[in-house]
Amino acid sequence: MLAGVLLLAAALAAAPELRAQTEVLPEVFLSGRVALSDRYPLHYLGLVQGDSVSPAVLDTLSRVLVRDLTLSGFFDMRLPDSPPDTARSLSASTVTYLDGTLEGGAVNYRAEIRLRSAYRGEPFWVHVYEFPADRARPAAHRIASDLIRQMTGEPAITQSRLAFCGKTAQGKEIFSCTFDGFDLVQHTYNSGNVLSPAWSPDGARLAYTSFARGQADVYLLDLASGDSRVFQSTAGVDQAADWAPDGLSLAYSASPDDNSEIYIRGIDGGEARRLTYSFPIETAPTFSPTGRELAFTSDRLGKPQIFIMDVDGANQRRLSTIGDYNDSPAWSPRGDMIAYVRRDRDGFQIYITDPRGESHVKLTSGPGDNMDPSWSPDGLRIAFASNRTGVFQIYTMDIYGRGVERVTNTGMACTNPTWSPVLDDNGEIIITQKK
Amino acid sequence: MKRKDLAKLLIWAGILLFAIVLVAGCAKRQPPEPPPPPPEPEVQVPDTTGQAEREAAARRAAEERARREAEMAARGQIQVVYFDYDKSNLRPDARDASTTNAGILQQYPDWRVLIEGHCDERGTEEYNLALGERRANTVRDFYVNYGLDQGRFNTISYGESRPAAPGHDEQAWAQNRRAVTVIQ
Repeated sequence: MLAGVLLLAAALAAAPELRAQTEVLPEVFLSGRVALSDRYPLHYLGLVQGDSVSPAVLDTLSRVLVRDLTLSGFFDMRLPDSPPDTARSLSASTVTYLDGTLEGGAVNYRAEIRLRSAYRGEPFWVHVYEFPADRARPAAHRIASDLIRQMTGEPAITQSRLAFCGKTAQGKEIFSCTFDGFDLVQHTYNSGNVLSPAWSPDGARLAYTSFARGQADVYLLDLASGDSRVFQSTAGVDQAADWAPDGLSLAYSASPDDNSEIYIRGIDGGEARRLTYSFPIETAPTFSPTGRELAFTSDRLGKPQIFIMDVDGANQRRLSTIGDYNDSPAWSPRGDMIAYVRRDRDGFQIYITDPRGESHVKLTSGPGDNMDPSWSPDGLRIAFASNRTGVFQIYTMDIYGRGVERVTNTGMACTNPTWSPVLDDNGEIIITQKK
Repeated sequence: MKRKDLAKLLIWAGILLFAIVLVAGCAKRQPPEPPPPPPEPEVQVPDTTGQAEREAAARRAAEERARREAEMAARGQIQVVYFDYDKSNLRPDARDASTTNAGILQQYPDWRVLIEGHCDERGTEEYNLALGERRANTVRDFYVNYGLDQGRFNTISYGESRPAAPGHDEQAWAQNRRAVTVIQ
């Protein structure tokens, strides 16, 4: 009896520990309080092929479209060979049907894409897309983007890009590619080694750390012109810039007094505002999507741990409590989660937690390190660098650590991914709305 | 006195007067004396002093060479300071290496010194960049506390970007967690 009471007391004492270690991801709610786990049934019926259509173009368009819709995580995808749901059940009324036609032309291909709420019913949404034969892939991304926005009201990441550091013979340079690994572009040359690219909220710029002047300094790269300018160059290490959600200022770490501290400064100059004052290292700031708080790394307790503070430096509190090395926080654009890297028994691995640090869910595991998490603009996928094949490459996964996709396969070691915001296409695809 | 004698005397006097006037006038108009020619180089003396100078020059060159060799040797004796994982404090062997370095730096007060901080490849690049900076600063502070002028020192952190050993095991990592004292 006494033993039983003691056992109960011990269990009660241990309860907060147990709660702190729960590995259950809280439900993610989309617009309109729709849970992410409650997927929209979407039946893709295929595209009817007209005359003079290259099978390669049809295949690319169809394959990329289905892949984008599947990867988005919003849909319970049914493919052309699955039977239509004609049962007069509640679920039958929720299935949406996707079909269309593809025709070849002298200059452009023409795809008419339709959504129907009933099998063979009248379409409630019709868009026509015209594109050159060699642009079937961007056209598919655009179609997927429109379908996602139409059906979910969520931002679509199918036209987004990933920038990252690629290791060349001359040192690391900044590259970017589409979120699914195509259209590789090199953005910097002879930059003397680069780190920590961060894509601006308007998509036009990258902030990054470079050793071009010897010491680590923060630069701003204008993507349209390819020109870089110094943003922050003081004695000591200037690095780890992150954009405020309004795109008007950057948080970064600098060490004018020999010690890394966090600052915020407007991108067009002005006074830097210092947020932290301590002897230990403070770095890797990441803004919350409201711009009112920052998560950051500090080793004020002897080992790097993740903390949160208000944007004026007040109210500093510890977020990570387990493990002796937690770093690289990345605040989700939805605001509901913070991804970070923990040194675990199986290497450096990616975890996510809520902003109160109540549940910590491990998303990756060894062998190999998985690092540098960066959120997709819809807050539903995470890009990261992994050396699971022996050489660091860029991958993406969903917020449950599933659906892992390898993005880069360039022969270079690739690290430090940063996900662009939702980008507009360049107008090469002509879109006509019919309904 | 005969008239003829008187005339002769007068003529001579006139000539004499003319001569005096002429001489005086010439003396006035005389151009300044040219500077005396430089003394002829003496052939005997330089033979001995040139040799002495050559000997002195050779001695100086030898001294300079020896000094430079000693300086090179001293540079070669500068030691790399190693650290433990995720640490920037000086362990006993690091303290010994830093003391050796400080002693050498004290002998060469005109050396300007760059202290590089490095990390092993484990960990995140941003934190490692900050950690490398703290390692460089730790060694710099040790030198300053030893009595060396802080103005001689610059520090730089390369984080994990410039490993000394290429491997991916503890042996390589131990060589890469370091602060390097570079004479500029």
